[in-house]
Amino acid sequence: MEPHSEPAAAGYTAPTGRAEQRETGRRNGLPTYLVLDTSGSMKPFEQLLNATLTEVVDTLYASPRVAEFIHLSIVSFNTRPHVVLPMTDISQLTGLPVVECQGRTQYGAMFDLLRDRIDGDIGGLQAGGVQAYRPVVFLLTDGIPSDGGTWRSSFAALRDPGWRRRPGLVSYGFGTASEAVLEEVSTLAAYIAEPGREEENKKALSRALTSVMRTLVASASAQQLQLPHEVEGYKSVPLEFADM
Amino acid sequence: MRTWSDSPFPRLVRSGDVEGYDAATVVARDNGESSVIHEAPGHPGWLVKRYKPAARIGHIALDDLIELPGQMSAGDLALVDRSIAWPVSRVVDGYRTVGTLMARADDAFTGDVALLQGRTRRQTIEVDLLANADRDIERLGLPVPTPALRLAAMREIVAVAALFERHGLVYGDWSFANAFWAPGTDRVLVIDMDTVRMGRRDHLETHNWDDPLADESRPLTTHTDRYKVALLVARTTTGLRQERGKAVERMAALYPRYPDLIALLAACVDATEPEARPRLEEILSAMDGPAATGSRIGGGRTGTGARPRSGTASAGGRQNHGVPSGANVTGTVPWRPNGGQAPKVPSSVPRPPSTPRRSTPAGPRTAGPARAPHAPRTSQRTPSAPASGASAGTPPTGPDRSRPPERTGSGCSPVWIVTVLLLIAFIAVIALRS
Repeated sequence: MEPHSEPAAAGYTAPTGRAEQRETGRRNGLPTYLVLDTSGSMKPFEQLLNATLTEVVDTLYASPRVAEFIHLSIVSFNTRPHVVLPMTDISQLTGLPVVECQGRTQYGAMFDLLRDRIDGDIGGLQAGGVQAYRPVVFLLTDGIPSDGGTWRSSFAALRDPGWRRRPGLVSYGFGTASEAVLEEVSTLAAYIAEPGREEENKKALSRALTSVMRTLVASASAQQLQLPHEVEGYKSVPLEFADM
Repeated sequence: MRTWSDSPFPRLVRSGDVEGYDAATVVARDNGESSVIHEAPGHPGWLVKRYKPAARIGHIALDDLIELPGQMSAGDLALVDRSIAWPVSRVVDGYRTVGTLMARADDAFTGDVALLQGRTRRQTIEVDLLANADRDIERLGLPVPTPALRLAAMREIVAVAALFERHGLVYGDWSFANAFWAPGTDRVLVIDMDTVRMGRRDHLETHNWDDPLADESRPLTTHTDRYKVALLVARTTTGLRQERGKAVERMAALYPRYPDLIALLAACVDATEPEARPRLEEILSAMDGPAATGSRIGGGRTGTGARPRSGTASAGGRQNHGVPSGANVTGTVPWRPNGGQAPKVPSSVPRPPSTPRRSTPAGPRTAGPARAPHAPRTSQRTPSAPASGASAGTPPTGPDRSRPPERTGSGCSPVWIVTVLLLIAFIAVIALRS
C-alpha cells in the first residue's frame, strides 16, 4: 500500500495514486436532444405529447443514475424551433415542459438551432466536469419537411465531418412521414410506422416516446448509447453507409 | 416476500407454463440481456426474466447457481432468502434457455417518489436513491436516513457480497442500480443474480465503477467485487456518488467509530495489486467493530448477515473473544493499515444457525428523536435499525483495536487457576480430616 500523504485527523486521507487519478477525472455523459415535430398536423396528439414529455422528465428527475448520464434537452419545432427544456441539471427543474402544436414543419431552422445549442451545451457540461460523448438527437415527426430542399444545407452543417461535436441522429416517423426523408436525416437508426388513422398514429407516437425513454434508461445503465433492436409497431429503415 | 426456499417451481420450467403478460404485469423491458421481465401468470410474487435471443446464457452455470443455496448453511440461506433475488428456476423452450424465475421485491421496496409540481410516482426504490445527499433524498420525498441507517443498509450489501465470495461467486456488477432499498429501513435486495458466475465472469465495466486494476482482456474475479463493493459502501454512506478515495475520506469523518472499516475500504480503493484488497468478510467484521460496546450496525446481525434473536446488541453470535463469528467464516487475510494495527482474527467457534429476519415495514416519514449533525431529517427507526447514531455513547475507537490478538481457547485463564486451587484446598481439608 502506498504511504498516505499525511495522517488526517479524521483517520484517512485519500492518497494521490493510480486509483485516485480517476477521482479527478471527468464522468461521462451523453448529451441528448429530444426533437419533437409540433406542427399543426400534430395537434390531435398535443395532449399525449405533453403527457409523455412529463413522463420522460419524471424518469430522469426520479433516477439520479439516469440523469447523471443522460443530459437531456427538449426541442420542439414547427414554423420555428423552440428550446422547451434546456440542458440543465434536471434536479434543479421547477416546472414541466409544455408544447403547443401549430404551424409548419420547417426542418432547416431546427437543424440550425441544434447546431447552435450543441456547442454551448457541451461547453456547459465540460465546465461541470462531464466528458461528453457525441450528442444524440431523437427526432419524432409525423410529416415531411415543408421548407422544400433548403433544409439540406442546415443538415449538412449539423453533420459537418469536420465538426467534432456533430450529433448522431435517430428518427421515428409516423402519420405521413417519409421513409426517404427519415433515411436521409438518420445516421444511427430510423423507425417508421405504417400510416394509419388518428388512433393508430396516436399509438405510434406513444410507442416512439416509450422507445426513446427505454433507450435513455438502458443507455444510462450501459453508460453508452443502447439503441433498440426493434420498436413495437415500427419497422426499421435500412440505413446505408456513406463510405461504401 | 417470496424466497428461494419457498419456491413452488421445479428447477426447469417450460416457457409455455409461465407465458403470457400484459402491460400491467410487465416490470421492465429491453434492459441489458433481458427483453422483458414480467410477473409469472398465476404465481403472484414471482417474476419471469426473459432473455433476448442474442443473450449468451450458460445453462450449466445457471443451473449450478440455482442449486447452490440448497448446499448453504442455515445462516447463509437466511441471508439469501432475505436479501437476494436468487434465481429459482431456468425457463426453457425445448433445449433453449429463454429465461429465469425469481422472487419479486415486496412492497417495502417501493416508495412514493416526489416529482415536480407536487406529483408523486410509486416506484421501486434502488440504492441509487439512498446514495444521495440528504437534501436530495428529501427532495424526492423519501425518509432521510441517519448515518447509522445508511451504514446498516450497506452492511447488508457487504454481507451478501461476502456470501458470494465465501461461495466462490463473482458478481462483477456492483453499482447503485443492482440493489433495491426499502426506504426508512436497512433492508436491501440484490438483483440481477442470474449472471453471477463461479470463480470469474466475463469482463464488464460500468463507467464510474471501473476497476483501475482490472485488465479488460481478463475475466473479473472477486478482487474487482471487493473494489466495487468498497466504492458502493463509501459512496452510499456519504452521498458522494462520483468519488472514490474522497468518499472514503469523507466516510472517515462521518463514521469516526469505524477506523478498521475505513482502513479496509481505503485498502480496497487504493491497492496497487488486486490481491492486496482485503476480503469482504473482513470488511463485514469491521462493520461490526463497535458492536461490543452496544451499538452494532443493523441491530446486531452477525457475520453472515443473520438477524439477532432479540433486538439487543448482545444477541447474535458474538463470542467472548470480541470477534464477530459466522457459521462460514473461513479466515481473514492479515492486513495492517499504516503498519500498526493488529489483524482481525477469525472466530474459531461456529455460530449456530440463526432464524431468518422478519420483514420490517418502511417507517413513516416522521422526524426521529435523534438528529445527526449533518442530517436535517431522520426517519423513524425500525426494529432493525440501531437506536443511536454510530458515534453515540462509545469511545471513538473500536473495542478490538486496543486488544492484543485474541486467544483461541488454549490459554490458562484466572478462573481455571482459582478453580484448581480451590479443588486442591478441598482435597487437602478432606485428607486432614481423615
